Amino acid sequence: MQTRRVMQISRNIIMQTASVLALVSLSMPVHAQESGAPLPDPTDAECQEIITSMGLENNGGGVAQVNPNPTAPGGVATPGTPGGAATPPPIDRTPGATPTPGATPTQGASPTPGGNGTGGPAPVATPRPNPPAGGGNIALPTGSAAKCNNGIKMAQSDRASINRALAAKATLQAAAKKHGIDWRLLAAIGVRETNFRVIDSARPGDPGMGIFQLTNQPGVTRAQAHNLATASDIAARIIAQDMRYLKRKFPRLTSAQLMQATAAAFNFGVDDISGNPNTIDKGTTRNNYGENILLLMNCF
Amino acid sequence: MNTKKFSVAALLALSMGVTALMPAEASIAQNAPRATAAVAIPDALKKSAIATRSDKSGQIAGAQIGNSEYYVVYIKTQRGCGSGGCRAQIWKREGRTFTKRESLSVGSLPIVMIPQKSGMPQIGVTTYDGGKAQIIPHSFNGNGYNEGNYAARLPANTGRVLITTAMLKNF
Repeated sequence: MQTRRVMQISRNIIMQTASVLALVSLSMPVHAQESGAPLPDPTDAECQEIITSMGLENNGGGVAQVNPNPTAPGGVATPGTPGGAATPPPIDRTPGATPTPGATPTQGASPTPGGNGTGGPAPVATPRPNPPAGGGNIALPTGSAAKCNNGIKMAQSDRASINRALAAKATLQAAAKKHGIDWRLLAAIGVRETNFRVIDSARPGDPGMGIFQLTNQPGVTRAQAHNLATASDIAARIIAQDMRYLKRKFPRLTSAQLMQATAAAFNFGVDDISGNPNTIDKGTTRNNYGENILLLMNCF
Repeated sequence: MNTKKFSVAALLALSMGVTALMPAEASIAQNAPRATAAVAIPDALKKSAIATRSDKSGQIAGAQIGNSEYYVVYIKTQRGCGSGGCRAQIWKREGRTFTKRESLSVGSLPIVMIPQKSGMPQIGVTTYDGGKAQIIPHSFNGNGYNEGNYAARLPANTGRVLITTAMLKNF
């Protein structure tokens, strides 16, 4: 009798434990998706794909008509083909090396072909169920639209900015392919920095210039920073260099963490990346730059 | 004659405690209390700060925070700065050596000191997030400075100027 009672109690305990485990396992993926910024850890193959050469042969992704040769914002003539611009000078990101007097902010002409260049903050995302195949993109989780909206809100941006970046997709992809990075990093950084507009910051002595807020580096002129193809090429080169450096220095960073750190490095330089995944964004503009870039990447 | 005129002007400027400011910075700091004339940071601190950067060349400026053992150092290098500017560093004098405490939020010059009713002053970094200059304050936590408080951002002309662009020296 007593033995039967003990067995019954044991069976109950096992059943309850199994239920709790089942509940925990069910709740974890939901939490992971709602936690926002970090993209899920990719597989080794995906990591390899990101770090090494990123094929952009397939430009799929269901993006509506993209101008294959967007007009250079700011009215600056575009030399050569997108991504094939004149070889930019060596990268020096020191801001303020040479003051640029009279760097008047220029509202760049939107490269959006027929796009809604205006419009206030209206973060209504267009869900993209499948990520574009090109650019070595890692698989995006479901809920990308919500993350895109969160990214737009965090960037204090709007849907029109996303559209401007999408209109420049071909140019961004060409630059990204040349340097082996994900073109969506370029697009997201352009949105975060300037709402993907050709403007100069009011910072005296060391203004950020153009869509990517390139600083006045030796050999990089304001006209180059205002030229979509050239600026994309320079920004992509900086990103690729930083990503390679951080990958070597912090091999244990996941792919998403590496991208977040690379974005943070674009904002404050690569020297201050500590390698601690929990503090990547500390010290970035608004303390959320890298996370914001990852969220915005879900818009493309 | 010209030398004498220059000397008189220089003496006048020094007596007024005016730090050379870039034109734009002068307008930013127009309502701020005048900073004292720039004082070179100790060589040991300069060397230690430069050693934190991977580049061998750049520009550096620093200042003591009040009369405390804390210093703020701003270094501009190729790999130590980005689209948002550079991150100033907080250093503490410990005997004859200096120890880095933390880096402040990314930003630009000028860096200002915001006196508090008691205790250590806040340190403000200039940023142009959103298009116009503003100060991101960093409060003292007893052992160093907290991360920038973007929710408490201040107008650009707040505080006493500690470091300006004109103070940057090449290395």
